[in-house]
Amino acid sequence: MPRVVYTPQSETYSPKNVIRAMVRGMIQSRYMALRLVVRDIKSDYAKSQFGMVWELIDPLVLGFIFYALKRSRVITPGETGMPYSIFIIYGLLMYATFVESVMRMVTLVRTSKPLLSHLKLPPEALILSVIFRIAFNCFFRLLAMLFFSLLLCRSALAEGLSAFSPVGFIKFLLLFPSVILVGAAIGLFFAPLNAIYSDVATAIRIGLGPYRYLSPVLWPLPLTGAWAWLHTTSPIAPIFLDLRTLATENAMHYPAEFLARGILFGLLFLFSWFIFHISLTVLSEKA
Amino acid sequence: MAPIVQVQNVFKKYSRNANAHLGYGMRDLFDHILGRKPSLELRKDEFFAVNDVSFELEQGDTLALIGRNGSGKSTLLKMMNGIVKPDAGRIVMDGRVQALINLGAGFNPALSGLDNIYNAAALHGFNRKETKAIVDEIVDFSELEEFITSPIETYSSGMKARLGFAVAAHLKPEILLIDEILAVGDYAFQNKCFARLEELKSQNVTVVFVSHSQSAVIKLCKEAIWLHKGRIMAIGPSRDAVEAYNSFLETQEKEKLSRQKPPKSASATENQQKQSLKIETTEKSENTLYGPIHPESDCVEDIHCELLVDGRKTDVIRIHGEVVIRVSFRLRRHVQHLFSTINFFRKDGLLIASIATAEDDRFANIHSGHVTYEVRIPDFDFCPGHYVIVMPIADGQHYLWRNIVKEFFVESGGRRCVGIKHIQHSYSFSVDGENVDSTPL
Repeated sequence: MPRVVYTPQSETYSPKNVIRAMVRGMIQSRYMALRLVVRDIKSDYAKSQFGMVWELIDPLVLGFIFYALKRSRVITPGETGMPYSIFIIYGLLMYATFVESVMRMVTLVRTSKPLLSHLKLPPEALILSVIFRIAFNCFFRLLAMLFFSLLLCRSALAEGLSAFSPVGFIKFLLLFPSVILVGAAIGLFFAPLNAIYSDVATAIRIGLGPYRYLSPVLWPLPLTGAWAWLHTTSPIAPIFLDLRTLATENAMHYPAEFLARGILFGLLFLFSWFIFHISLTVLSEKA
Repeated sequence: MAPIVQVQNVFKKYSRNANAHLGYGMRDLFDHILGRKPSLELRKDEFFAVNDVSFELEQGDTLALIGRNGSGKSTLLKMMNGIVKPDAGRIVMDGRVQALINLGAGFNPALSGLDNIYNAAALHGFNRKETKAIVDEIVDFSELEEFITSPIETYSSGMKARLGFAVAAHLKPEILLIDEILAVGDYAFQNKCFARLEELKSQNVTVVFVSHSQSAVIKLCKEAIWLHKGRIMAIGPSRDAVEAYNSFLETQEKEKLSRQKPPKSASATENQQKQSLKIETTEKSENTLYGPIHPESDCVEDIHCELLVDGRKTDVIRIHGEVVIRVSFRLRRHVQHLFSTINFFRKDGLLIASIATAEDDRFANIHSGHVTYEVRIPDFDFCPGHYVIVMPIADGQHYLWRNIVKEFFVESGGRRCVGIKHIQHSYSFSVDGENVDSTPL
């Protein structure tokens, strides 16, 4: 018979118990999280003929505009090392994934408030449901990336460039979750604050718009002066650059920076998850 | 037997205006993360929703939480379910808890009834296999077989509630927390819900039940706690707690009535009396809980209605007492067929009884002048509560006037009353053909 004791104090002083509960929660709430995702996806697209296609259209249209601007020499994005269309398609779809990861996590308590005010849910079910949902959306984005890589593979070769590497693409698929990890870690870190002040999510959403132009999404950033500082401090720049070159050339130019960000944001994610786990009940009251 | 539920000196405070004090939330969050104990000191705009509540329940016990809205019942239930954290005290739940706090929690309107069953069961911790084993039982209980594949946005609110209850009541709890959710669906389904709860009780499930339905509380629960402003006012057998609560409500209603209409001095002028009637009546012609109101008339004026008990005017009547209703009004012009009716409404709009002069054309010969009549009721048997008298005066074809003329309260005088009326009765019964007793009650 499960015995539960509710007291005012958090379990901060018994981190071992919290970590055990986090792991148990992650294992036990897989089905619950899956049902939450199925529920959301079905209801999101219940009355839509094209469903997920709309999610792809936004970054692809933006990509097409930049491609057209580059072709007509309105912009000169610099040396990309791969067909520009591949550069921006990968960049925009990876950025869309990053933004989705941040925003879904940061608004997690508020969007779950209707459930949390009536049901006792394990925090892990909510976190997992967001990860599952992002993974579902990524499946279509990855398909789009693969489709354009294969489509432009020959023309790229004719220009002496590479648009697709089979081995590299498998490595790209294995390392692609790092984009979700960085976004989810940042989002989850700010989720408790956003539960109290909704301005947090608004500020982040506004900030992420222009940040797209300060990251190697639509063009490669120069690595001199202030741009070099931006590259060094960016949570996503080395990851984006290396994932692109992995998929197209099976090569990584910034493996150390990539690994450093993986470890740093992995730790940030664990820390944020710990905070989220011990404070969810308080947060759902305050949201 | 060891207690299955222990609630020990539990406190919970809330802010009346949380949006104006977002800083409280931030401070509380940091204190919580740092492992600090919350302070019980009330900050600006804060109040105790639950104030030093303690009780214990053993397996198979049934407890009702009663009290007015905002008395802390739902907050206490939410704390017992772990949805809300206590600010002080300790709650131990020694069994699988199932809470029926909102029947539609987790339902998505765009999805079918069946999908929602799987979702709701998953949110209560059931996996697919476990849900599959009970899904037919749930559909059968909800009586929604025909609509189970339709999106629940096409369901009526009663159908949604039926589905919600059916899911929640089949998830095999050891401790069941129910928050005022049984007033849903039609009477047949309500009966079915109660039958299911009785079945769970017989399976030794511990039930904590929040309800405003006193008959349901007495029927379902052995014990009850009456909460007022977060504090326990009475705890004990459900009948006793309900009675204590009712007498408190009676006192409050009486106080409210006396506040609404301060007694007039004997020297009050006619103008003051008219002013007093004006306050009681509705200014414009409109439909209300008590039917159409026609407050203005060029034919009737100076309307008065008084309740007399032992010759004294009053607004409070004791059940089964004698009451005289004295009505007077003046006809300003000739009326062909005069009728006047005294309609008794419960405060919530339910018409309880009507006394009409039209029944025997009693006013057939009255066409003008100052009319006064008295109605004597030897045994006023309405159950305790708040009532209003609505009086229409008509000319046989149209209302000349129709408005609320009196508000009054019926007090129990210590009797146990359930329903609308308390019927005077006596028993006579026999055992093996031999008369045992004959007791008037």
